[in-house]
This record gives sequence, C-alpha cells and structure tokens, in this order.
Amino acid sequence: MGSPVDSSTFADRAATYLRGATGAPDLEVSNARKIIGGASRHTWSVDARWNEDGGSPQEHGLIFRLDPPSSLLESNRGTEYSLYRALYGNPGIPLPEPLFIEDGGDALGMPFFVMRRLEGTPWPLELFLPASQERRQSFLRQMFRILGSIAAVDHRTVGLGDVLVAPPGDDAWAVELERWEKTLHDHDLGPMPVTRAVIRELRRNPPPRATPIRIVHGDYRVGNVLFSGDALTAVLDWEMCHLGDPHEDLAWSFARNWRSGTTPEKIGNALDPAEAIAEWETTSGLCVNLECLRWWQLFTHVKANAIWTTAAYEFSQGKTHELMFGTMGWLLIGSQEKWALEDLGVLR
Amino acid sequence: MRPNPPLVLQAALKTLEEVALGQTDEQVLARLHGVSTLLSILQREWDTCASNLLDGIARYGDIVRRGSLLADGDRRERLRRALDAVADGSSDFRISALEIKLDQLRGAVIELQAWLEDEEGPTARALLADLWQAEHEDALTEDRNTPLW
Repeated sequence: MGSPVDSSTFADRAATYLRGATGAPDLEVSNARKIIGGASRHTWSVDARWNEDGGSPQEHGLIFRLDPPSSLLESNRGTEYSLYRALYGNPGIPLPEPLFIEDGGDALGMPFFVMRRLEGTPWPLELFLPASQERRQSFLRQMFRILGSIAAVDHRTVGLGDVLVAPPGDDAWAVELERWEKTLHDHDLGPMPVTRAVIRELRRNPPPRATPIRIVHGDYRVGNVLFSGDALTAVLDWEMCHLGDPHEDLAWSFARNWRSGTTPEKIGNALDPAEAIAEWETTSGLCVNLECLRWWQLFTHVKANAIWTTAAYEFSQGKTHELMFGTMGWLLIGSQEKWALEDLGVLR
Repeated sequence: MRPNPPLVLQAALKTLEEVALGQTDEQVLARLHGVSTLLSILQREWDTCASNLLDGIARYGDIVRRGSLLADGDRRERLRRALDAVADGSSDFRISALEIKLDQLRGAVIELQAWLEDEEGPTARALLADLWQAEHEDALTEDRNTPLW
C-alpha cells in the first residue's frame, strides 16, 4: 500500500496513474481538489490533458473515488463500479462514464475507481429559494422518473446477475432489517429505546412480499444527484446499491431528513408524495403498494440511525477525526427518533 | 466560570464568521461551517445540558419504577437493579456520570417496553402510553436537526 494522498501530492500521483491507464505518456493533471461531503468514499476532481496518437488534444474532467481509511458504510467498490458500467448508457438513468478501477493501494494509497466528471451540482442554491418552487418541482419530478427507470431494470439483463445477490426467498425486508440492526449492534454507543421499538414493530408487521426484486440505489435523494441548468445530469453515490424491494428507494427518498421545515408534508418542499409516486409508476411500470411503502418508510429510521450511529462510533473510537462524523450523532439521532415516533402513530 | 462559556463561545462564533468572510476556498468554508455548527450546539446547550439529563433520568426513572411494580419475577428484579444503580452516587453531577445513569435507564426501558407491548391490561396500556410520551420528550431534547430549507 502506498502512502496516503493529500492535496500537495494528488495531482502528480493521479497523473502517474493515468499515464499508465490511458497509455498517454504526455498526460498532465491540473486543478486537483477534494470534493466536500461523501462520508463513504473520498472524492477528488481533476482535469486531465493529453494528445492522442494523431496529435489531437484531449481534455477531460475526471473524478476519483477512493476508499477512505474509515467509512460510514462497508461498501464494495467493485460492485459500485460494476453498477456504473452496467447502467451507463441507459437513456433513463444519467450516469458518469466509468473509466478505470484500481484494487491496489500503490498508486494513491488506497483502492479507487475513476469516472468521467459531469457538469452539475448536488446542492444548487437557487433550488432552495422560495421563488424556485416550479423549478424545484420539475427537478423532483425528474428525480422520481429516473428512480422509476432504475426500478424498471432487471439486473440479469444488464450483466449484473453475477454481481448482485438476490435476497433469499424474496425476503428483501428481512435481509435489510437484519443488516442495519447488525450495524447498530456493531457500533453500539448506548441503548436506543425508540429505534429498538421500531425494529420490533417492523418485525411484528412485515410488508407484503416484494415482487419483483429490483436494483435498489440505497441512498437516492437530493445531494446524491447532480443538477445542471434544467436537467438532472447524474445519479451518483451507488455505494449502498443492492437487490431488493424497489419500495425501499422510494421510501428513503421520501424520508423526513430531506424535507423542509416549512412544508414537511411535501418532498423537497415542492412535491406531494402522490405526485412523486405517479412519476415513479410511469417509468417503473410498477404499482406502489402503500402498505409496503409505509413499512419501508418506518424502516428508514432504523437505517438512518444506524448510519448516524456508525459515524459517531467511528469518531468515538478515534478511527476518524472528520468533524462531520463527530457531529452527525449529535445532530441527527434525536431528530430521527422524534420522526420515528411520529410515524409510528403512538403519540397522544 | 466567568465570563460564562456561552458568551465566550458566541465570541468564537463571531470570529469564525469573520474568518469565513475572507474565504473563497469551499473546503475551508465547509470546515468552518462544521466548527461553527459544533460551537453553536455547545453554546446553546451548555447551560441546560445537566438539567436535561436530570430531567431524562427522572422521567425514565418514574417509568421504570412503575414498570417494576407491574412486572414480576426476574424482570421486576432487573428493573429494580437499574433503579438502584441510578440511585447510587446520586451526588455525582458530572455530565459523563449523568449520561451513564440515563443509559442504564434507557436499557431498562427497552426491556420494559418490549414486555408492555405484549400486555393487554389497562395499567400496562397506560404505562406504555406514558412511556411513548417519555421517549418523545427524550427525543425532543436531543432533536438538533436544522431543516435543509
């Protein structure tokens, strides 16, 4: 494993790697910068320039996604990269082009993969202004149409049959609930009565069996898609991708975490859940089962608190000094439990 | 401590704000924002932190006490032990000591609640309803989420 990269060395080391990967000995890298956010991988952006054999100059923006020393999530780089490869070019699912994957740590100190950079921003400030209501609504409609397109894909037809594992017996709910319950157990920071009560409720009242099993992005929300102009240009951050019940993604994107303080009944402060469902059904070809959706909405509290707890645990154990990890538990666990109690419908 | 810590933290926040004004590097701005968030929480909760924990201990302590009267056998014994553990060293008001006590009660609440959810009697139903309310108050104390917009 090579030494870790930092801002003073990233450009040079990325250039060395890219010269080998592209076969372009004159390749130069500039404007290397670490992108803020991204708690599961470290993300770097660079500009790469080189001349083709015939002399024609090439210039591309590239994104490097590096495994971090400590992460919120145990994710499989190879699976994420395979997803990009399998779905890239699907007209209903905008994605950056995946270019290279490197499983060793010699080049940049840790394994990584490289994608072409797309224009856009995950948090367009104008989207949050009250005057942007119509534009925000348009973006959100696109988001749910794209999510429907993801749910429409049969993973076996795009070469992911050997990459993604279908939940045994179609018990997608049980697999996911066990996974996140284990995550909570493995990152124990103290008793969480509300989250435990939610887990018991979810087990007592399982959802109808998921048919069909489809690709689940796992973290589909504003912040993990890119907006540019009037278009949604890319769906990013597939590190939690798995096969499961497509209601899971819909419920996660409906979560209270991504709603506003002024109109919490609307998604993204603009769209009624019923409208989002209608958009999703149009492109997925599936019908939402509201009972199922409610189960997965309650499940989001378990999954979210498992993520926030993991961050707090990693920080407490000294595995990371990222401030975001330290404050995540403070900021979010209590709110998550408050929302869970409201969604359980148990308050007087 | 004089001047009182929230006042000093306010000055620290103001300093951060001034530093941020001169910054264009989004990495640096994001980090300043993170530190600012952290200081804001500390400033807001410095004064109320211990009393919030004591309120939580009293709230859950009452629930667990009522549960111990309703339960029997080993469960009653475990609930009583949790209450005894919290009563020990009751003059220790360090935040860390209070958090340990509250967690002991939260652990007892988990067992009590799982049992109450399967009980049918009116006393158990009433205690469960009060327990949900206690959990809501606990969550509200810890609710620090700032809406995105």
